[in-house]
Amino acid sequence: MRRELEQRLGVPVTLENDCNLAALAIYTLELDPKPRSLAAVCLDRCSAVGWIVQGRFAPVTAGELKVPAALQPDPKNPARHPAKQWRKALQAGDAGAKEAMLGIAVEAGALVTQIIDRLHPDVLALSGATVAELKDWLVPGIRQHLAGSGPECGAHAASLFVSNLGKDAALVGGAVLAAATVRQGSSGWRP
Amino acid sequence: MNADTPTPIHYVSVDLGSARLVAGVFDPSFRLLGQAELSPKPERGQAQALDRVARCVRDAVDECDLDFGAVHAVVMGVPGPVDANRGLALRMAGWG
Repeated sequence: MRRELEQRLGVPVTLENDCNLAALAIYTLELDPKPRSLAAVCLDRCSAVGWIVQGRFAPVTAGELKVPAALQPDPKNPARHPAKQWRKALQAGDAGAKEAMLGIAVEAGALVTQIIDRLHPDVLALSGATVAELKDWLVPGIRQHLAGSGPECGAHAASLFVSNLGKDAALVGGAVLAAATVRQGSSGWRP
Repeated sequence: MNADTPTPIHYVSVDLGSARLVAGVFDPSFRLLGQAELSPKPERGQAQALDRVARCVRDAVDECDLDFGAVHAVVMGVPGPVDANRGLALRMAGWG
């Protein structure tokens, strides 16, 4: 894939997982000091989590991750991002949407808890278009879910961070990785 | 631009999902200068999808009134695990 794209463009191309790129953008541009480990959760992306340990991408060993289906974009109608529809309904005071969002926040909280339980990150960042659109409704529910989880989960040790990069987090991360590639000859982000 | 002025380095980042294909042009401060968007059309197969990625990248660069020679590297984010050394997407969600 990389080689074929390089042939078409005539410049070096690097491939990376989209959530890893979101994590890289958050790690590089939003977090200071840098945590030892960062899990970036992208609620509207199928791969769901990007994972950085000691300044390198690391393989995710969190098992099968169940992203709330109600937040996934419809491939047949990509222009209609579900988060935007949810936000409009919530802002209009739609009682059904409010009730549904409580359930979605519980699902998202369960996903975040699962990731913290398996990876034990120092920082867990929420990122992506869904978080940008729905943070006022989702984040309190996720925090509540974490507060209610047992101490064995380790959820209390992880710091929750909400990214301001919105839908462009992965795109910005790609630029950060491209700059590293040009500077060092290789990205340096892969072990 | 003056012929003696070195062309500043720019980077292009591509976000390839099953529902959205976006290419963004960034300056060295990671400021997004412009972008282009196409539907990825995964049903047409990989070769055509890569043609669309290349077109989207060139459209984004053109949108910024840049010469393509200013682009020093392209990074493409894909929805799934990758073999970064071999430049392969091992599995892409929504791409069959």
